[in-house]
Amino acid sequence: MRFFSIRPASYNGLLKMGREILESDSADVRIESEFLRPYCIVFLDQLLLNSVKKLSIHSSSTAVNQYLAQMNFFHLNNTAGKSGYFPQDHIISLKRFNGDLNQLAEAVPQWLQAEVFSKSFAPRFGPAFRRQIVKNLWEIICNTIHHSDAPFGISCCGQFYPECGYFEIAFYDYGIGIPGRVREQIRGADKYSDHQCLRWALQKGTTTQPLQETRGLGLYYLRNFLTLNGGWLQAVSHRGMLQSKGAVDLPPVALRRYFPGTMINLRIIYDEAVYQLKGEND
Amino acid sequence: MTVIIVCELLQTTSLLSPDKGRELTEKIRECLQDDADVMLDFRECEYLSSSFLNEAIGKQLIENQWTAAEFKARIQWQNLSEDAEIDLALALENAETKLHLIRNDIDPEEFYNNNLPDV
Repeated sequence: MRFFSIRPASYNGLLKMGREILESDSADVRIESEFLRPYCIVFLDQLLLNSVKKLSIHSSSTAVNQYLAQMNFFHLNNTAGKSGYFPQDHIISLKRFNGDLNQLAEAVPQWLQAEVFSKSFAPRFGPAFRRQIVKNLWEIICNTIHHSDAPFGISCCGQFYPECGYFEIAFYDYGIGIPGRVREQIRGADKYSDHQCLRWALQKGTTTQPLQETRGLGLYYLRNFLTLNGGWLQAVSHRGMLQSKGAVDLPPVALRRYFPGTMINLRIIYDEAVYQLKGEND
Repeated sequence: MTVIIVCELLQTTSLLSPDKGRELTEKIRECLQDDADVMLDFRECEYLSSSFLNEAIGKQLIENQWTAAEFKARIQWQNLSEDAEIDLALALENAETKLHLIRNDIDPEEFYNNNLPDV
């Protein structure tokens, strides 16, 4: 696939590309793509981290190589370096989070401050909007650390589209996946399909943690936030894919290929003309 | 009434991790053992998560077997943003639901496992 959109077909295309990378005879694999989105980059990062073979990649497209370099993509075999081909200010560069939650509780807001809130072109992010972003993205990371058993934690990166007034930010872990965890922990959930497991995880009050361990409301909060925001939520795991746009749930999709781990891909509207969070003036 | 300046106690303005919630729970527990009512002062707090609130607030309600009204009679708070107030109310509501199950001799874990929502 040469151009990746946020449609389900692109997720199938990404899986196909991933399989071709892992099955390649070469340690440096050339990918045939002319446009990657953030969710593609976090997927490739975790795929290569978790590969038993030490692999690097480069693209047939100079622009993609440049983009990967500016994203700080660790597995890029390319010497072009950064030339400012893409506005660096529009990029939320690749970051991995893993380990101690107390340290992450400091590191995650610092990363968001540097990569999201400080963008010079963006309208001033109000305090309530910042709190919502930090709280909701924290829940994704915290959930992964607690639930996913992912050996290399979670990879995150994103991209601003100032002319559209939104940014996309993607989170991916190569762990057990939401359907795997739900069926493992919740008795009776083996009757659920993959997308039903995802829907279960988005509901209020559900957790795969033992109930003695109180945890957050994770994906439920995130879903509510994006309903108010009018943004997109895509949750992809195994063969299930759930999508919502604002308050509208799109029909669930069954992917043709098995998607390991869990991908959360968000499109968040930040344009003040479009979106004003309640309590923004406090 | 004992005033706890939460960010000073926990030495962070980022109240996100459940561990920090547990630290606050310990302090609240000490105060309650001394029969003192507690005022939680959230001045300087930048970020607050539901996992922190569940540990710090929800567990207190369950441990003491309080209703939300009884909780509020002993533990009050100030300097919370409007959205954080909503999160705190939700943490109390969730804890009350779990306590209600426990009081009726229903294991919450069993209950949730055996009452799968229709998805």
